[in-house]
Amino acid sequence: MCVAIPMRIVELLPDRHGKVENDGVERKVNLRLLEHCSVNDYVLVHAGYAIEKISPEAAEENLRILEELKRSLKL
Amino acid sequence: MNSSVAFWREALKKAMAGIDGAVNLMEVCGSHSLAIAKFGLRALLPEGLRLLSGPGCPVCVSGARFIDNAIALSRNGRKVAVFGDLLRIPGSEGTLQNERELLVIYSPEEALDYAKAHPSEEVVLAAVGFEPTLCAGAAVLEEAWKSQTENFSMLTDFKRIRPVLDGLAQDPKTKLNGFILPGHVASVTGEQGFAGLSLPGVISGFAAENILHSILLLLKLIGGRETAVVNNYPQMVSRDGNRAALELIRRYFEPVSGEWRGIGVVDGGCWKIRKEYGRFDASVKYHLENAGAAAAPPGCRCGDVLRGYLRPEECPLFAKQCKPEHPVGACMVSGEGACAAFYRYRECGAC
Repeated sequence: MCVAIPMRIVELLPDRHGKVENDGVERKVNLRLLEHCSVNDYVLVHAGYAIEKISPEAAEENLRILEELKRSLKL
Repeated sequence: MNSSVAFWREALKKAMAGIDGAVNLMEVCGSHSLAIAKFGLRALLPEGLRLLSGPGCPVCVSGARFIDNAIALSRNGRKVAVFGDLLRIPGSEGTLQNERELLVIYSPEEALDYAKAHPSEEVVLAAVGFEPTLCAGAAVLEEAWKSQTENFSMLTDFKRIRPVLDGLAQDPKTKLNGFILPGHVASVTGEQGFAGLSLPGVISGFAAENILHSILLLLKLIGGRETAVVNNYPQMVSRDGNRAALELIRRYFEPVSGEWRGIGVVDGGCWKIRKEYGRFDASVKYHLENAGAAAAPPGCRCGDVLRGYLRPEECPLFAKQCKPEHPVGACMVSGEGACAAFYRYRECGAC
């Protein structure tokens, strides 16, 4: 699917992975595609990979839109 | 929406007044198709301004042969790993959904982890997508290569949107004046991934106001006869994109000519795993012909819909023989296909 989700890094893990969080849900993602990541960075996650770093404000807005779109998709 | 409907109607009407003749805009992103249908944005468009849904859903443009190959691999005892949205895409004779031993995954990495944990099983990751999925695929391929996970390979049908945009821009039948460009593809490629387009383009996010604002910006460019790419999603899209991801893509994949279902062969329209990594390329490992699609099912007009020649509701099969519950063509199967998006919201009268 084309939709990428903004998530916040809560922990850096070995092997260029990280634990990210959105709305209380945590998941492990691969940070290989980004050069420098820190805890509290917001990243755009697609198919288990962080593909871009974004600002917290951009993340908030994006999440709001995604909630609306998600409700319309039967997954 | 924060701004009023009246505000946008007026603003779009004013912008159109400065333009001679009809204007056809096209978006090429499944998520844009869905957002536009859901928010009923077409109802706000003035006379003469049309918004077409282009081939923005990679699942919809995957060849039937790709599905046939995935099914064949599964039947021959390989563990095939797929994203959920591939399950209902029609091959020549059926879909993947009845195959028993599939691994449905969210991340391509899960397929590789499975292969590492089950060294006696031959695992094949079947994946399609544009740049965002492609760079994840490249990262997985790199890891498979570095870890020498020999029981893992990838059956890929990754697509490159850029040559299709160039083709559509010049297609006399479509008569396009501009593009709404895909936000997450642009996150990876950067604005520079769309430089040199022969029509104006605006990179847009997915909020209703953002899309409307992008349309307004497009009308301004068209009125001013400017061919430019404007980034209207700067929070997520930079000028150069994700360079690490782009390098990774280039290291493991190369652009080749290939089939876009419904459109035909597109020069440089697909990505193939580079020869030196051939043992992780399932089409090489298992001697599969990845090219070519079966003929479209009788009456199916997906190809015309994808190119904007036809709106979904103009297809004779739409909402009759072809519905989400029993789709005929790929545009209706994926939730983000032009027809599926249209179908879901058609009753609101805004589409």
